[in-house]
Amino acid sequence: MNEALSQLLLGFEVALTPINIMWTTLGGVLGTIIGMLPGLGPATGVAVLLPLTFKMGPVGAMITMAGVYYGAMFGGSRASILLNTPGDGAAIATCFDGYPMTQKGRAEAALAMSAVASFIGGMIANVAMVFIAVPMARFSLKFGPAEYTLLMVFALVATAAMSKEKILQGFIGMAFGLMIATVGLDGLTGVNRFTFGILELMGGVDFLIIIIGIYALGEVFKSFKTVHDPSYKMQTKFGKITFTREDWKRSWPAILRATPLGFFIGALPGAGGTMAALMAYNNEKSVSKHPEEFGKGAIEGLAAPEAANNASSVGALIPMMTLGIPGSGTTAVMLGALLMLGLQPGPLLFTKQPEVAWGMIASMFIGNIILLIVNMPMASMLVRILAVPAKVLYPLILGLAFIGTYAITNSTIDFFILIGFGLIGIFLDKTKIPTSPLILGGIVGSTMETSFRQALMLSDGSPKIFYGSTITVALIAMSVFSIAWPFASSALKKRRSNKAASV
Amino acid sequence: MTWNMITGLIATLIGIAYGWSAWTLPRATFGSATGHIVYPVILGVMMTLLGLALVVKEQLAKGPKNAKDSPKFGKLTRHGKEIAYAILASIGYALVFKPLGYVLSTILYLGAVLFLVNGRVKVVRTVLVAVLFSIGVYVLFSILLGIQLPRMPFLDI
Repeated sequence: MNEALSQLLLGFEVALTPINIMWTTLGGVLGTIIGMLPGLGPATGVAVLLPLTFKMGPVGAMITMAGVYYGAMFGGSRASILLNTPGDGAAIATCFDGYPMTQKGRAEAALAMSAVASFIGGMIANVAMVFIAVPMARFSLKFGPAEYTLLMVFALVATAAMSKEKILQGFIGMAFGLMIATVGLDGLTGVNRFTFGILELMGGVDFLIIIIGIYALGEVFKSFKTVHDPSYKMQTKFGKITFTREDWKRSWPAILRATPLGFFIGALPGAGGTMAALMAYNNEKSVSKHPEEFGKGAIEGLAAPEAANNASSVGALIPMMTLGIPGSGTTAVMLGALLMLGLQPGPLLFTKQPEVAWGMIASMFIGNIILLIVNMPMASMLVRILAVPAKVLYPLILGLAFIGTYAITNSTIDFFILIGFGLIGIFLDKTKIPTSPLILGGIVGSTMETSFRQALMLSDGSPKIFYGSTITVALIAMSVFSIAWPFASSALKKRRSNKAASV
Repeated sequence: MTWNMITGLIATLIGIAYGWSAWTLPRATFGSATGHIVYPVILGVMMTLLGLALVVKEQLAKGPKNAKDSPKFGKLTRHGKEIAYAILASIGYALVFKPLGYVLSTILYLGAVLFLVNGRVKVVRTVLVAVLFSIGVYVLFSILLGIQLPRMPFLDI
């Protein structure tokens, strides 16, 4: 425990340098802005802002990207509260009570409470991360290639099986991502795979381009549909952004209940911020003494999901940082970006480059304080960005997508790959193939194959290595469980409601 | 034909094509001869099975079909047209990016896309935004971040 604290102190020494405070602020504010814009979430934010991090060095890049991630969680609620349109997926639950509050003329209280709830949720989750990260990283050192393969299988399966109705589509997306990852020269045998004789493909497909294509181009193309809607009538004049003592009394228990829930859900692969927020909302509604007020502007119904989605964004960083395995679309994008910058997140990050790992963790404490200031006293200024018409903003995102691609590869050939995947993004939306498993598959694909082959080499080709140890058996059980659970739980619900009906 | 059916068929095709080309990959001359083949073959088989499962599931599905579940062919909607034009503009951008340099090509591209969604109203705003963005990004990247962007011809700035 003391070790964690002394490491954290080291992290603060890194994070409190002026330049890193600046990166924290920059990442957080840009993340808030991207999070505010409907349709664009943290994954798009990290992907589009990636080129900015090229010259920052590993610490700066990591700090900025994390800032974008939790900044987006702060920002997402602004549009939910003022426009009834979630700024990103994780802010859907904030609409339920946030917008009714605005209609009642309590926008100030809603904005203030969501910022405070986000802040507390983020802060508590940060503290939890400080104490969990090292034991987790140490535990994962016990993992051999077989365990790693199965851990990745679990992360992929859990993400693909997220929705019962779309489970086949999820797995198809996952398989497609894994396939793309196999393109290129095979490092172990020197054989070209799936390159169709094209020289540029020998080095493999740069997955970050695919991410920008799907998340930036695809999302913007999709939102062309809504861009012509008559512009929102938004409240632009605000009183003091604050809430009453009564509001606080109702909200703090909700925040404290939602935070651990969000943190836990975030750390699980697959689930993520949206689910954390929705579960926190439902949970709050079921324990409330006056559930009839929910949906009509109950402030605790706003505080709970906001605390939960911030806590979940911190939780989601844990498997990515300590195991090197992302559990969500956004952390997958971050992992891809970090690999490109020459950083290998995983257990060794904490021992080999503690200044990067702990610098980032420490920066998240600072970032939350900065974002509280940005989102409370300065909220009325910041939300003016929402009044900038989407018709102007979205084309600019296209511009950023192209410049980002060029900065990564320095070639315009990749522009065509980018455009192609923009189109694929639209197709995925139409066919209801979720994007997270695809992105996850593409990012972890080559590591997974390498681990898989290493494991088989170790065992001389015997598959027994994949079910020989306690850890592997547990991971297999968890994977099976995550496929079976959605079906089992809906079957249970049906039985229960049948019983209730027959009584 | 529903979207799900299309997805299933495409997935099956991709699975077979991918699995087959993995199977027929040249054997390695050093290291394990088939080490690079086992994993992609597993992927190909998995994809084929997933695709077939979706096709079968869609065939067995009963009940009225929602019109939204199937693609509409024929004339493009306004939304579809806009996407098509935006993609054409993007392809054009990719082609002129190097010859015209970053600033000029980006002004043209953003101008085109902004015009596409804004129409003839607020042309001044369109031009202003396109020019300011292009110059701003150029300054940010090539001067502050040190990432070389294609320069403008003749003037070489």
